[in-house]
Amino acid sequence: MTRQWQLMRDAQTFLEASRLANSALKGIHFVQIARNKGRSPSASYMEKIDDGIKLLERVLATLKAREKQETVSSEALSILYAISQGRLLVGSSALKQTVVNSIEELERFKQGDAETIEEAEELLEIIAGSTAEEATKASAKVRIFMMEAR
Amino acid sequence: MLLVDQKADVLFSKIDFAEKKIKAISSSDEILGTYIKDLTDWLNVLKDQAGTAQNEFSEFIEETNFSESDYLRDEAQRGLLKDMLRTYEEIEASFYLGVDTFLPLMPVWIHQRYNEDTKRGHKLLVDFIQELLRLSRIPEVIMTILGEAHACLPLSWGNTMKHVVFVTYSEMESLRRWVLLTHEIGHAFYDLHFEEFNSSVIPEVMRKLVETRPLNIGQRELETVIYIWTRKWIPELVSDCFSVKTLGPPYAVQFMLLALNSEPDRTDVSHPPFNLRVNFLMDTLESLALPDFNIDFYRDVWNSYSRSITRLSSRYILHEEVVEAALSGIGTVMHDTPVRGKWTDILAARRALSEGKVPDKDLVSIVSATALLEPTINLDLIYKVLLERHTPSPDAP
Repeated sequence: MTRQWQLMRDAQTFLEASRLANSALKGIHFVQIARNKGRSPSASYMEKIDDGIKLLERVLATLKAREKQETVSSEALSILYAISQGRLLVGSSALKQTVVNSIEELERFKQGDAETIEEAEELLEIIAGSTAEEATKASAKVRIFMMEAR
Repeated sequence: MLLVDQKADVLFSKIDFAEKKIKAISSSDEILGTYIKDLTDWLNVLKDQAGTAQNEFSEFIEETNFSESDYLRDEAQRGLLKDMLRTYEEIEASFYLGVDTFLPLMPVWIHQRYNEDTKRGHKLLVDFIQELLRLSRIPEVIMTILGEAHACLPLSWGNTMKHVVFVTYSEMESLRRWVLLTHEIGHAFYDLHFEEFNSSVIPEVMRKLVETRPLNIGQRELETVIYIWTRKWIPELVSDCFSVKTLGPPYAVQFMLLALNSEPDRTDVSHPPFNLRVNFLMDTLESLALPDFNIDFYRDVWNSYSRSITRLSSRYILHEEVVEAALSGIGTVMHDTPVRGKWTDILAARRALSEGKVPDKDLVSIVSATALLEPTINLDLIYKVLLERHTPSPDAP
């Protein structure tokens, strides 16, 4: 496979990771806005937050799996690569702790026990932003290649 | 109409355009038809996504009273607006990757299939690719397009993975080189069997990378090396292994020719070094123990070049334990060896071709045999005979 087509596959995986993280952020913000108005948030937004929790759980499982030789998630690997490219980089154990804290924060937020979720929101924002950025970089290279090919 | 609603309209009009182009195809064949069905489903998914984004934006306006005459001040509202806009970016990018890249290939396929200049050669190539797919038991039909380089275009339409194989136009009549297309089909094999690799080879390679990580390798470099191995190099090595287990010596011989360059140990982000790949092919070939094939001869040929100019690498990415984990893991997952059932036919075809006869055998055996013929033998006549067999000309008796 040529380098350009590999980039296409990369872009597709980054996009999927970005879509999942962004969807969770939409859930968080819709819930916050509803609560600020004193209303109960819609169940569909809670589901988006649940999906965000599942995504972070996959990242956590992948971080652990790397040391234990277990199956990993492609999206999680892409996320770990994307966030290592300049946005957030701490050692593996500190990152694990951030992910654990974020999952707990999201659970509390869902229950209404926390009004703000700074750590989780920041982490999801970094994931959504950095994977979208990597997808854009890869897509831009595919774009140049397609123009040449045609 | 809000600016963001116009964004949705642009997306809908692009989807409409794609649907019209699909409907306008009057000569859809069995191969193109499978793509059209999956692409149509994917367009419906994208349409749903764009519709959902539009509905969510309406809810957002209700919740925030957003208007284009003022900007937002509340943090949650500002965050939500950013999320909404990012959703559109994602749909646009998905459309580009899945539709804009593929849509122009449909008229190219149709043109090459029916145009007088290309149709017979194209048909022969398509037959070869379909025979290879059957031989390697890949339940997929794959479009073959004459382009600028051998390549495999991966298309991800939701949960459906499709592939398009490109063949170098200037090599469309170079029968010896066709065996190299097996590598491109190997990428379809990898996608089909991804879960098996993801649950065995990939975790083992990652564990080795973590275990052998030197002190001077920071987290960022570790993530990069893991990414290169798991997302780039393993799929390439799987395709190499697939090719040699499918076609055996013909693939290895032609790959050696392709790989011969001045830097056999150069580390590239997208592909492992050629030296590593050729040695892997030779080891895999040796494990097949095919009769009437002298592996040592080919090893010596490769080594005469590579050992003369190679430099031993101490780079972390090529740590021997990592390489060993990858190669042995790939070899273990890939049980099928179609070449074992094909080798006798390939040898018989080579004998016949050496005597100037084109044997009455399948296309894969004959094409593979050409890869083993003396390079001085001109293959033009063989190509003409195969064209006549697979695409009889209208004035043929």
